[in-house]
Amino acid sequence: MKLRILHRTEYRYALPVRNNTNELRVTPLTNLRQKLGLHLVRVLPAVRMRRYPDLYRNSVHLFEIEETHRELVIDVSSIVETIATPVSAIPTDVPLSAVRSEEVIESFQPYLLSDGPIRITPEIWRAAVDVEQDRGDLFSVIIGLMDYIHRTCKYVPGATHIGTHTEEFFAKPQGVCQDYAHLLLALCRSIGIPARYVCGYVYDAKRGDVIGSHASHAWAEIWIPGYGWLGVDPTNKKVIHEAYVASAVGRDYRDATPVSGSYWGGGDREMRVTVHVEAK
Amino acid sequence: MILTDYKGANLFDELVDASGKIRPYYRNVAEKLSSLGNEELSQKLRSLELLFLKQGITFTVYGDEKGTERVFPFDPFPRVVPANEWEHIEAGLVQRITALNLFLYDVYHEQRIIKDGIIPPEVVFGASHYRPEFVGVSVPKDAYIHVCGTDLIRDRDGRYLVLEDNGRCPSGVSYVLENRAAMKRVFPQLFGASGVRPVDTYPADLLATLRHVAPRENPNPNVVLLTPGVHNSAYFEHSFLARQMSIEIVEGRDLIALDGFVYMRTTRGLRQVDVIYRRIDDDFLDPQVFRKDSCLGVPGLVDAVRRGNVALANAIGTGVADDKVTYAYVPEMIRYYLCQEPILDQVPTYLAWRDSDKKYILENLPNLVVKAANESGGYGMLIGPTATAAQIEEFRQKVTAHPRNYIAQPVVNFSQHPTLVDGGLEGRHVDLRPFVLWGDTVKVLPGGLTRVALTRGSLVVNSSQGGGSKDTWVLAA
Repeated sequence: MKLRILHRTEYRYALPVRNNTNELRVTPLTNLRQKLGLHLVRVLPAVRMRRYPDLYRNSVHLFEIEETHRELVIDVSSIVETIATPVSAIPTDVPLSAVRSEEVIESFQPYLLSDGPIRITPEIWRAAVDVEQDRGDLFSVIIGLMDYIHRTCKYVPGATHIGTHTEEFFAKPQGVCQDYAHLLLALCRSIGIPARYVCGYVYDAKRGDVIGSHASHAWAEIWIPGYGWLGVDPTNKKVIHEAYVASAVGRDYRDATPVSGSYWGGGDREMRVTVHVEAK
Repeated sequence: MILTDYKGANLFDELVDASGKIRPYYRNVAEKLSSLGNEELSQKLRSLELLFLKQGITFTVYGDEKGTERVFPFDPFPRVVPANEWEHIEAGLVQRITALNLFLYDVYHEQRIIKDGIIPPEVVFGASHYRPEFVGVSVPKDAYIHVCGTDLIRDRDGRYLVLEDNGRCPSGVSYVLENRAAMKRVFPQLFGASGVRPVDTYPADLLATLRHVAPRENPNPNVVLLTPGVHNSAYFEHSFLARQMSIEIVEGRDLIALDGFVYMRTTRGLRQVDVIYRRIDDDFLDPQVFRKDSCLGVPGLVDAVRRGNVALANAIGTGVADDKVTYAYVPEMIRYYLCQEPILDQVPTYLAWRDSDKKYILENLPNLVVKAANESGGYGMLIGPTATAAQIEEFRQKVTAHPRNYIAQPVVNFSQHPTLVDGGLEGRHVDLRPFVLWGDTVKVLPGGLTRVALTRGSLVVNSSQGGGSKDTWVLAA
């Protein structure tokens, strides 16, 4: 499926600001599931762009606007070809013990941590163990955990904020895709399954059916030995398919934030994000 | 029309591949064209000609004793660009205009690309269209080139190459719209089920682009088109676009600058102007700043621009970006500003101001195309292989005397397209000038102006040098 993604982030500052440094993680990844075609980042005020790959091999754009300004517009356009991966290719016979090997624990250590927004509490662990108990293999545990989140949490924009951690969200399960994804990471990690955070986009063919298609979206990827990372979207209760485009991965939201930065200046700031994903 | 006789040549043919087979994306239109009888075809050609004459789709040739207006010759066999090729072109053009605008911002501000040693200072400061008086002046939305017409050609392998960027006052878009309208009227049956992407949103897109740079917080900015007047070669286009956008077309004498603001004289008094889509070169804009003898401009206009009270599209000083020496550095610019590799290739260029290149140019004049760095429209150009010994000698002297003013490129035997000549089809060289709009978003008009060199074997497609045009079809999928 060929998707065209337009992602615009606008900031308006009540007072002039300067030395505005930003890092963007908005470049769709190229991997077995998706291939990035044309891609351009356009920033107003005019500024030179630099790029580097980060630790997680996300492609990071970096820029700094030194002169004073009151408006910052970041326009990202991308064309991505996604490849449908058949659900039948996902192994349903990998035992849970496969992720508990020395080797997996060592290589995926960052994706097993209770750290930052991922707070693994005894209650979260208890919930995960309950789901795990009556299921035999890794894939059905993952699906079970996703179903559990989708069943118990309610999608309420504005109920949480950027820094909301899983302990808070678990206690009062109302939030957005970021909270859903974080909770799935916490549940998986609590029973030793490596899981990472994914930021990206989702195309909504029917318009109105898919949560997260009007902004950047977030979901989780779970490691299945012998298969690789399996993407699951607890917000929409879906295994990732060809309408999904990943733009950054990491331990949690902090590693995959689409736009992050700092500037000199006081006063209020207004931010607006618009995302359009269309099939070509 | 009989297609079976048409043969490709020893270069890239748009219609047929190397084995003489019609390319799949041309099949639809080729079939329909060949089903037309000779009688029907010649009748349609007559109505086309009449249509163009009645619409006044003409241009004026400079340097012609008679000074006559001519109907822009039109060839009814449309050029077809498949969707995947267009996607590549579009991306390359958007990348290019982005880099060019960043370059212009930079050379009129910190000049980092020079300080970082990417572009030699003499390239920028030696360009005759560089405007040092605009260093440090901010333009709305940091936009310099709002409308860009980039000329593309295809080499033997069908690869699209950028020949030049026109970032000052590119013209030709009115022919794109009129060609399409005429084709639809005269050959409606060709369009059925072809999936040709429409071009008629261009005037609205252009207006949106112009309104985007309006300096005042005004929901309804006053946008005007500034023309040098009826004697300009592109006056038809000026009036056409103004009419299509429903904006006023003005000459310099219709505007007045007072206290740093620009006003339009109307029957109901002065009305402030926010954005000027100017189709006048920098030199003639304001006699107080540029050419003192210009009667086409508005005294005080540049001051109003500098104070940020009126926006010009394109901005002053964009000529440094479409200078033919600067052109050689565009790939470096793309790498420097965008941290990307160029999507579209360009023609290798020798710069006469580099001693080693100059030596090469002078030794190989008969095999090269030599161009003046700041000319457009095919003026001031030498095509080595077809030039006389006297012409070559003339350019040898010119290049030696003013090396900064000349560049040379190998002759690219660019692609040909079947063209109707005396009732039969013959291959003629074509180029393509797509139009890019840089506003709130970047838009590329699907297609552009395909120009045809009507003389057999000629590589010069400029209308001022006897070129014609074709409708250009970008397929939706």
